[in-house]
Amino acid sequence: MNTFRQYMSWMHTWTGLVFGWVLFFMFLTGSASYYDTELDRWMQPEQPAPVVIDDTAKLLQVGLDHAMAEAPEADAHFVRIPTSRSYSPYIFTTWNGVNEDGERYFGRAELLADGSVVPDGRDTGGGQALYRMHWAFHYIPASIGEVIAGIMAFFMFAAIISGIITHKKIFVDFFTLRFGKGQRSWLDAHNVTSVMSLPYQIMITFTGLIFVVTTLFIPVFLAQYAGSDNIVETITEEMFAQPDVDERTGIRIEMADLGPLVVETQTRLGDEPVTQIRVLNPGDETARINVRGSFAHTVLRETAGVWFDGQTGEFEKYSPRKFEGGGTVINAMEGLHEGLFAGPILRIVFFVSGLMGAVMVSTGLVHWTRKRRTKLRGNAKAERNLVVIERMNVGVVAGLPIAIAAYFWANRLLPLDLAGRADWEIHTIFLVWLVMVIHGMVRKPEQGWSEQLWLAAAAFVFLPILNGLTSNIHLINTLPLPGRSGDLALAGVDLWFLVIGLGFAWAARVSAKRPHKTTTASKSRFDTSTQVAAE
Amino acid sequence: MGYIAAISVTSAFTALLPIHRSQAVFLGLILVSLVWVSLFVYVFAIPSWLRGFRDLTLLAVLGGLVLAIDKLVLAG
Repeated sequence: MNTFRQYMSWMHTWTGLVFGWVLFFMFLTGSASYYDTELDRWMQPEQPAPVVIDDTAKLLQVGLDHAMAEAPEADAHFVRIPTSRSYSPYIFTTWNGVNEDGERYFGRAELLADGSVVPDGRDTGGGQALYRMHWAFHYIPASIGEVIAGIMAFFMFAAIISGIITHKKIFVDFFTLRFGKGQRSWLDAHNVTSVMSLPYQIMITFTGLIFVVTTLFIPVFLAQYAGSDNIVETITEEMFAQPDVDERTGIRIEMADLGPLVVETQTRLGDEPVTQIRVLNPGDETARINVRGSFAHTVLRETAGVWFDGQTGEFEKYSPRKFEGGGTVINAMEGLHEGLFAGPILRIVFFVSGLMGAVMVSTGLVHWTRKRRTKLRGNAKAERNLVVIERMNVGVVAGLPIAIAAYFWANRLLPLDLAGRADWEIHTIFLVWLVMVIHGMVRKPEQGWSEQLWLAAAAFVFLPILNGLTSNIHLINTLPLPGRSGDLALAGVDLWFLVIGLGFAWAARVSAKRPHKTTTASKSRFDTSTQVAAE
Repeated sequence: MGYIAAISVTSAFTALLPIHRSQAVFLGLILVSLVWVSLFVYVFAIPSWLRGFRDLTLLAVLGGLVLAIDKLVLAG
């Protein structure tokens, strides 16, 4: 008779196996996203240094002046000065309105502190392409990608729950990693990475699922709002209320000085720095100014702020964070997932835990094929099928990091004037990945693993050198040294490349070792936990 | 069926709570994913697929009934 644990083990194996490759892709590209803004900068080495935040009001005013010059009749202006997690390291300003033909228009600009427009850098996907890929994938519409990502998160969550139930000895697994023992080593690696990063895995999977609930569970809205006259309008009005906007009168005014407004808002926000303003009906006597804090200050991702009269600068009202109750919980979960609030140390923890998730999935896949091979001995047809999966594992698992490294190589080596350059950078990922899968298929798995892991090591270790040869943002210029602050964000990218490359070199050496024979003593001690987990 | 049952039972539960419907939606969105995964695990945890399907169907119908009654009472 099958036990509950055996049912869970079966479910854990099959959910992991069927969706493992996609989950591996999501984990790897998602982990890279923790450094998306740093990668953005690394991938546009010719761009000027980021704006230094010395005088918040002055920098916001620079953005506002630019928007006012570009679109004086706009409905709204928005200005944001950079934080460590902003998409733009410059003063970022946008505007929108309706033109004389009744068509809505939008504009945006990135500015330096002196008000000059930041020149266009090379056309690149940057870190944002990797970020987007981990939930929207590529070559398919984002809406479909989002649904697939949600379903993957669902099965991952189920695999985590069943994995926890399956493991009798989580504490023992934490300390058990035996090298050179073939199949058993793969299981140990799977268990160790799973257990060490378990809190992160639970958090990232559930919050990832929360990200897509509005897409996956539209009937939840309908269940509450069925019978309303105009469902979409009612939902928007009740759940995502927008501020009241007065009609423009057409009477032009001089806008209030931002300095006192920023000071007053800062007093109310406490230690949350003021980073953005929104102006409704700019330049009109009905103008209103909303000064807000930083979206990366707390896990909530939303900012509090203060509304002022646009002409007199008089205080109107304090506007708290947008959502309340359940909305705040959802926002907090999404904030946890993105980790925008995380400082440097916590960001490293998130990044390493994400990589552990990728290792967890990949070692689970490899372990399954190894175990299956011993079971199928003598069954020629089944063994042939297994060989395909085994060799695909090589190309998918070891090939993807190589493909991602190739993305950075392409960023430096593709001609700057190449049409559709950013697209070709991304095509490089998938072309190289395809080549690696083909390579994995034609080589014996042991050779395939060794060759591809060494290639991954070389691809990452030599990236800082390539960077040095093709730009001036290399480690010699960016490392903080006595007497100069350097640029730790850019140096960190190169250092991570080195660490990851060395990690692959280590993995290549370990994988090349021939498995030792398992001793009877070690078998009997760990059999119970590993057997059930391995089913 | 787990998807339908999860939405049905979660929506019924949140509709009965004395909170505004916009808050009920937010709460429902948080709970529904947990319920969905739980029902998925439940189906794997019991020995019969048929029984799992039956239980989920019953849950979906029950949730739908509660929701319908709640709507009717509100309409009344």
